[in-house]
Amino acid sequence: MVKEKVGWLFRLFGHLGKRLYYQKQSKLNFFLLTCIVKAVVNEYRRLNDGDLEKALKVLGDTVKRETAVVVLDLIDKPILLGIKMAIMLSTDIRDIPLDLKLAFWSILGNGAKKVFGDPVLILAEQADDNIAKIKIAVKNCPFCVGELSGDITLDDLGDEDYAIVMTALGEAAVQNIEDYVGNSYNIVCRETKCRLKGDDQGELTIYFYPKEEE
Amino acid sequence: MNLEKNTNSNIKEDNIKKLLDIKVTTLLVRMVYPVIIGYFLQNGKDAAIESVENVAEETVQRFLNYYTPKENKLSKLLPNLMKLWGPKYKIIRDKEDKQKIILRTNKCPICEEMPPMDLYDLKYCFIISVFIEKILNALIDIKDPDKFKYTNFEAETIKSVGNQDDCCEIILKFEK
Repeated sequence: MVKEKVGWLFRLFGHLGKRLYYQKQSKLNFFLLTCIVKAVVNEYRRLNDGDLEKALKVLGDTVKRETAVVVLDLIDKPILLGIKMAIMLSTDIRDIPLDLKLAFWSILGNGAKKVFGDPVLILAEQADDNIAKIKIAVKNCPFCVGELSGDITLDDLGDEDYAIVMTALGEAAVQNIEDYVGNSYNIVCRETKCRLKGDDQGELTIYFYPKEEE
Repeated sequence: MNLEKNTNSNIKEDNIKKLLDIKVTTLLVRMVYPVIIGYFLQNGKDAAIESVENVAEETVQRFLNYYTPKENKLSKLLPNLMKLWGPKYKIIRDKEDKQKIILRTNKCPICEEMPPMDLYDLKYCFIISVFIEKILNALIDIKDPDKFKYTNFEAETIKSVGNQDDCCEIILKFEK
């Protein structure tokens, strides 16, 4: 049964579990991975007649689909003494920032702090557009770092985000969590700030659209 | 990892160095690798190999754009290059052919916990041997030839857990 709020004991389990999970995982060099991702984006672009926007869409849809499978598997996977990640989930969206922090740590270890800022929740009643959202600063974007801004234009990107892998991962992960706990949100994750677009640093925003409107 | 900064780099090296010091779970790779290879295979086996080679070539160029491994001897260079991918590879010198090395692992970052996939007759984790071949050949052009005395490298994945072999194995041949 999904709880209404994650209590302090389960938060403690979460902090212990993230370290154990990360330690058990096989790991590769993050910079190498970002080089591979950017090369894959360019190969998709070549296979789509040079259309970067289409390439990013195809790759993003792939990541969303596969993330859904992995997240659902991970939620029910025992990490320690039969304890599953599901204990960290609740119907209260105020627990999502913690879940995201734990997820970042589980993927990147201590290095997560070098890449992402702490997720900040803005509740619907606090937001100008009445849509709850979580903002995550991307302090050190692995995708636009090293790109010269002239190489990729806004026209090239179209409606897609260059960091499509991050936005697709975030969107699919949170959507599947919200579906699992029985909440009725359509989750959209977008890159709301990007160095390639002239911003000082990157930012991801996860929008929680109530299912009756978007 | 022993790396030296490429003096031609004009990008923010501190930011890159932070990413270089981080290790990320291979789950992210294994999650999408089969679908991406499947996408490349839509146009047939030869087209898929071409796409993987393009990806490996660009990956190597991007990586070496910022940092170059300091080591010049294969005995020290290979462990560090393989460590980029995560697991420890056993590096075995061929007793009969002195210009042949076998790289072997049971914890392949691509094949670990993956179900078998039909890749025609390609080995599942062949991208790693393509990457190794390309980065070593690229280093021939970058490094001092008096210290890095190799003239050509060829790498081939001959066993893969993803193809239900008992381990993942790469044959590396080189010329001096």
